[in-house]
Amino acid sequence: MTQINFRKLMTANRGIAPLVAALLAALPGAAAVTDAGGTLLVGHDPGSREEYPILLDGEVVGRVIGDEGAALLATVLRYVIEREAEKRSLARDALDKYRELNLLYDLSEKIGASLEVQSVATVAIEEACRRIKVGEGFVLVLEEASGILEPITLPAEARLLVTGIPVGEGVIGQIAESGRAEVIVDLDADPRWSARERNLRSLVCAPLKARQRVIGVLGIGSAESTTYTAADLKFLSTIASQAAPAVDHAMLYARTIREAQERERRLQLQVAELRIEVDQARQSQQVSAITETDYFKALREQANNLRKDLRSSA
Amino acid sequence: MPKIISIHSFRGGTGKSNVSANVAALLAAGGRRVGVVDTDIQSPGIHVLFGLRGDEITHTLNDYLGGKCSIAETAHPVLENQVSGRVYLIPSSVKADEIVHVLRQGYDMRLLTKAFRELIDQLELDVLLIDTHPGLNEETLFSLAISTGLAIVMRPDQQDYEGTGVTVEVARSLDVPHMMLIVNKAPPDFDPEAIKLRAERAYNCRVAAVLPHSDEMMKLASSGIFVLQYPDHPMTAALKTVAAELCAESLGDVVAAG
Repeated sequence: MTQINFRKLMTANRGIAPLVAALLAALPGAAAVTDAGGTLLVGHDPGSREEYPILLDGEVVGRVIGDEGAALLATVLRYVIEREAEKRSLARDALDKYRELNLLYDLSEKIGASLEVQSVATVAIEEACRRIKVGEGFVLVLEEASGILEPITLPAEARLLVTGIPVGEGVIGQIAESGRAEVIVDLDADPRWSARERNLRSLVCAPLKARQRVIGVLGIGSAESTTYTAADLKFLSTIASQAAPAVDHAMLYARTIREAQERERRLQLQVAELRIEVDQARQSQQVSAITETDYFKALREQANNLRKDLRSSA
Repeated sequence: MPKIISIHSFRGGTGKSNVSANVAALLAAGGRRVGVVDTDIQSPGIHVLFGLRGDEITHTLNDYLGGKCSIAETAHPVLENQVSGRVYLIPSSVKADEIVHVLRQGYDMRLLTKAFRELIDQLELDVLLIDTHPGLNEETLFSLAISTGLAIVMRPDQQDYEGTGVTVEVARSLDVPHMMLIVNKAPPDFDPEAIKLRAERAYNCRVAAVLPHSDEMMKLASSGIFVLQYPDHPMTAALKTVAAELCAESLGDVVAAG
């Protein structure tokens, strides 16, 4: 709710206060403005007890008291106070937007600094948990071969809450399948519930989307019943939309590295296999160096006899 | 007739002693009486595989070669109650001074011939299995020359290729009756058949087994006999083929064994 300091507005020496003072002076009869508690703020106590409350969002913030002119002043003040409240609300919205923009800027800077899936996930979880303070953050990424959303870098507390879960199974699996972020206050009551989610009670969860497909989910969950709000959902979705391309890139990068290493290994094996056949000439030379010794010649002549001799002794 | 089998490799670290111990265990498991001689005087180690502790070794091959005892005194029964046959281990000394002594003095090959003959006679051996010293020195050539079966262990590794080729050629000119290659420690993603074909073509020699690098084998590598611990493992089946081929009397037996 928009907070307006009525007293300050009426007693300042700029803004609406000088106008109210001028109006009071110009009005026929006596009138005054008090705060909600009845303390006199401007004008002279007219002695009359006719009161005109100034309401904002259904709440009395002040009163005009006095004779015939007081009703008119009250009407003017109501209008002005409403406008003032609107102005402040807009200013606050603008500030919120500015802060959100700043956060996104910070986030993309942090996330962009890493090429590892795990550190991207860690940054996303930390940022989400900084504002949504109840529960444990988690990131699950889709293993394409198995169709299972697998957890990455989970803190111990989060590991108790979520496990790997196939796309389409349970609430989390279906969020990944539908690609729509959701708040679930009571998972036990949700018809999509899966036994893999038995430790989760409340959840706010958003898909990680990159290149027109879901590559995982970012979520915050709690074992206790927790009322996550629409604002939490919006915030988490914003972080997810920032983190998703970075997670995607990091996964691509990791796969590329793996494939390159695999290729290199295969190449080495091929080279190793081919080399069995080389250096026949040098080999013959080494064989001759042994077989042409006197010792070897003698041994060769005796070999057959030695074998027979040893075996026939039994 | 008793068989004399040498398990050799050109380089150390191929798993030669491991193959020796496992083949010996398999032959004894088939009821044979097997003597295992550790002639790897420079770096003995097969006694560990048979679970023989250093302080349980009373006399060694070094003692015999130095004239300190009879060869029969060096024979230590091992794997008792684990196999239906018998295994006797003739260990080398693990004491550095004794190793250096034999290496410096060399030894009379006739002593070794006499030892082998006595072992076969006195222990009534069906198989005398020689765990050779890597490389091709005179003692090793002698072991190859007297063997009726020879298995050359190699790794699919550049460092082993040339030396293995030399060994195969040398053994061939000694007319060793049953000679075969064993490719050991093959990376698991190699195709064993492809390795077999390639090695057979490269060396013009039969490859009796391609043994993959196995974590279980590595775990047991220096503390036990794989084939007795994992009787149903594919590697045990491969080693059985090796054992059968090494003992074959004729080529017909080889085919039957394969």
